Amino acid sequence: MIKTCSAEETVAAGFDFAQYLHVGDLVLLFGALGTGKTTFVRGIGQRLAPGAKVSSPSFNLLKVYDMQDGGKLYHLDFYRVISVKELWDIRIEEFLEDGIVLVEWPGRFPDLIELPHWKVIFKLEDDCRCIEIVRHS
Amino acid sequence: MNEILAIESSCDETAVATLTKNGQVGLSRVISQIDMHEVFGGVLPEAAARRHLEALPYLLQGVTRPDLVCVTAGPGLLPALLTGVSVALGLSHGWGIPLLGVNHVVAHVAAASLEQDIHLPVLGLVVSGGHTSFYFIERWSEPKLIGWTYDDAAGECLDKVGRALGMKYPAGPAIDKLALDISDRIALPLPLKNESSFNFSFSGLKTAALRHKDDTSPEILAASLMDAVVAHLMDRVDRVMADYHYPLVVGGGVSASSYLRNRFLSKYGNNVLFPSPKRSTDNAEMIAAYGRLLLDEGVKPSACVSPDPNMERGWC
Repeated sequence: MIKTCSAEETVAAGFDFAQYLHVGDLVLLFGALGTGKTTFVRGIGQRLAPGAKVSSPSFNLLKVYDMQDGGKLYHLDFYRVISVKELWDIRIEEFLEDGIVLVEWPGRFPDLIELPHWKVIFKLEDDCRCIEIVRHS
Repeated sequence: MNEILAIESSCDETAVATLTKNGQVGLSRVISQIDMHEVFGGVLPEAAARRHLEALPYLLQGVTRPDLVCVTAGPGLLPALLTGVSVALGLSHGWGIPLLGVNHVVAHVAAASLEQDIHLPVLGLVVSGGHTSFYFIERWSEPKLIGWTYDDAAGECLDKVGRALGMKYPAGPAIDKLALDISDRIALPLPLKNESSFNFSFSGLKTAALRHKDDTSPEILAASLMDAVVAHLMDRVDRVMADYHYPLVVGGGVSASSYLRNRFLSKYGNNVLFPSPKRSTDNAEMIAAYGRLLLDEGVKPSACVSPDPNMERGWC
């Protein structure tokens, strides 16, 4: 369990976590609106794709960044997405072949949880955030 | 001047427009998929692409062969962009005319050129549901991105909080009206106030607003959020204008907000200009307008246009 009390600390937590990620990893980010998911991803981006302009993919659903050591960083956001059968249209398994896949609002696609993944849970606690990271394989 | 046909399909709107030889808008047609949000509460990526594909032949009815096809190549939702680009490629090959892929965000700035002469250099601020970006434009063919959002776009922040307060998608227009009608406000923080960059951050505002969900009326909270979003935009504009002494063009769906326009005009006066509100939201006239400005600068269209969801450069 990590506790962060500013956006900078949330970015740092993402940066720190990113050292454990490899091509083929799936990261599911759970948490209500405004709990720090995109800010955490910004930290992951700072380590794996320095210079990338990471921002929320809620409207475009997917943003892709080139990682400095090769491979892609896929950042998905299902905030605006509703259909379950479309998961495979989005080709997440193809993405996992050449990159790391980060998914915000994954709860809308229960099938995702069947794949091996890192589960990152964000909760607000007073003015801070609690971030819990669990590996499911 | 060249006759131009333009196609836009980067997000929720499918649009087609033409510019005539004398530079006037010929036809301009838009179909929105916002009804899908009302019916389903969200967007279905492949279904959205299908809707664009169904809408385009209908919107293109009666269009005759122009001298150039312009299409939004990015940024946007990949399956949606792919639809517009594929149709544009087909038309370009079929008619044997050149094709130009243009940047949707910069086109929001170019939209203003349909109504007034824009003398470069200008600063372009684009504020919408999917984008909040600052461009410095000395040449239309080489726009420089000088500011972007670290997290949510301005319109996304308004919409997410609006939805949490029980409003319909997109919540922006309703929030704009509340900000005009209600003068009560609660204090919300000014994002990035200690950072000197030209970048934006709206997710902290979203979190701060949602914390007041249970102790403030939804109307006052929504109006306060609009206020805070505009304050953040203006704080960044002040920083940019301290370094770049050029006029500012503001485009994108959120810039259709009367509240935002009033605040900007009262502070920046003649130094700020807006396309008319109907040209601030997604449309294809702006794609054609940008194409024409690029041609005027001597850009040579090619035929190899491919969609680029993260597009940063002006054209391809």
